[in-house]
Amino acid sequence: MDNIVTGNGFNGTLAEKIFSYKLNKQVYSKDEYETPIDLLMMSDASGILALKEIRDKIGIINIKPWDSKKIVMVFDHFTPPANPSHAMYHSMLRKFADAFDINYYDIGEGISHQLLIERELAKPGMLIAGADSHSTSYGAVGAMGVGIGSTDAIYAMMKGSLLLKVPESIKIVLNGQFKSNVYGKDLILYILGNMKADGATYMCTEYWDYTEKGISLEDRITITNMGAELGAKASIFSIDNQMIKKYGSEVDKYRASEDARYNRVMNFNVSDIEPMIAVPDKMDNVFPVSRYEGVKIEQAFIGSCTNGRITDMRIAARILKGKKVAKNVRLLIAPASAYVYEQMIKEHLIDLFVEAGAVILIPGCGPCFGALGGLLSSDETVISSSNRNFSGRMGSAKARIFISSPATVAISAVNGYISIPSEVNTE
Amino acid sequence: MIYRGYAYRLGDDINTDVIAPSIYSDDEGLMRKHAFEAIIKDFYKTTENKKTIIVASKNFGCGSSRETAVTAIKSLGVEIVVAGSFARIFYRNAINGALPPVVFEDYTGISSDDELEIDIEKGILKNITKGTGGSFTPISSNALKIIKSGGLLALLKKELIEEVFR
Repeated sequence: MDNIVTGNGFNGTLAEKIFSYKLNKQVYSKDEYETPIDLLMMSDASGILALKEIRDKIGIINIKPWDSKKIVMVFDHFTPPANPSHAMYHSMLRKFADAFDINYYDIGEGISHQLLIERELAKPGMLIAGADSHSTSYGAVGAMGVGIGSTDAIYAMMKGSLLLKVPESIKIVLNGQFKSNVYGKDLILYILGNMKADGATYMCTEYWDYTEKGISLEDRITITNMGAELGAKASIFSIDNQMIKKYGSEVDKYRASEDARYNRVMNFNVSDIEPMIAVPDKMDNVFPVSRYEGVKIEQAFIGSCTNGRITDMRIAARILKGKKVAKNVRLLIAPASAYVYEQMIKEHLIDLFVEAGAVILIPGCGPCFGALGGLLSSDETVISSSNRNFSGRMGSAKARIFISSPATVAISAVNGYISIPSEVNTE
Repeated sequence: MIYRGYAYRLGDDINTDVIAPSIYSDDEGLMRKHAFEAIIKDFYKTTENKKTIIVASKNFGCGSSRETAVTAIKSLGVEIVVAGSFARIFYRNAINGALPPVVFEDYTGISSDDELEIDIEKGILKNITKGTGGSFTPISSNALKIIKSGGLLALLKKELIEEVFR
């Protein structure tokens, strides 16, 4: 059954197909188009910058959102507000959202990327502009999530479109099967070490999952989320049976053609990967955890849009069950959403964590954004399940940030130093 | 449009947390004082004393989508950034904020304190100190239109006003 997009042997990548369906014509990479978007996401951090710019440079009175039903705001960065000016930001954003009938998720409901996927606002084939770099996450469900700044967000809010270049794609083929204690986080860290922090700049990374058991949705979110760290414009899992089972055969039309043209094709056998760690202060500074075993830590953090899901909490719980966080180590845990929090309560993970000596934070970005409670002093080291180890990201510019999987964070918190999650039976 | 100033050389992967630490994002004055502080002490004093052009290596502006990275650089009096390559969100934000991002492949030939003259329309960079220079792909006409208007919002506002009087 031919249509305008797939007819005449169109051999598009997934990215080219999504753009072609948006534009209703066959388009290939590198060309630039004013492209309609399906959804605009703003966080409180980018939303307030946008709102202040509207106020100062355009005038609120001149604003008319293109479609308020397709705009979502999430209060996740300044939650709960740590000072009166952050409280004022939220107050301004609530009034703005109410005035224009824009849907928003208030403090404690969760992190934007988690919410958009969890509440099924993100779906295969959608083009989602997110005013947050980790908007690449939506690729876990086959959507093209593109990170933008707050000025572009204002433009998109008013026009419902953005001038976008159709990205070239890198095909990343995954085979084998994860060893125990190795997760999506270890894989994406391994890929980062291999491709480097600008390895996918301006491009779309398209993952083809041929692993034996298939990669879970949660691990897929972790992998696409950190596409931002590769510089990728978008990061997407190819349409496969897992997605078709959930969204119906309709979505198969976005699957890349067999003869699609890629910038390059890379193969990774996930069986070869061991627990990995990103070492200060670059995200492509990646090594096996074993190399840094024994480095003393003062803080451990499990959470963020990268690894704050229920599966992450279950993994941490298996390691922390009946154990205590080491003396002089603080373990902070932030569920990625209220749903995750509720599920943790139902599964008695909250009691387990509190008994182990962990501190539970409210659902949101937590200390990963560096503007809320849980920051570090200049003489401290943290191991975190989040996504960036840049100087000053979580407090003092001199604090050292190591990034790993929740399993590695949990075992390190128990031992008081960086440890390999190998002795722990996680089955 | 021609820009002149003195180069300040930076390395690879200068990220937005270094450029604009999130803890100072509420206050432009504080941000100006703390911009780049993880890698340069009191950068604002350097830029106060000398018209500065940031010349970075690869992947400048990687990391978050925060536009405070652009406003922090502008608050330092820096009006143009040259780099071997840029991270994509920063690149868009820079154009939207009328801070021209120039991709210059021979960035390694530029040293700190070299006096530079850059024509973003013709795509020519002259290193006056060393008597060298080279060409680069000029900023696209679309981006130039935004930069000349003083940013995407200024352009958008003009469009809105024209719409009202059409």
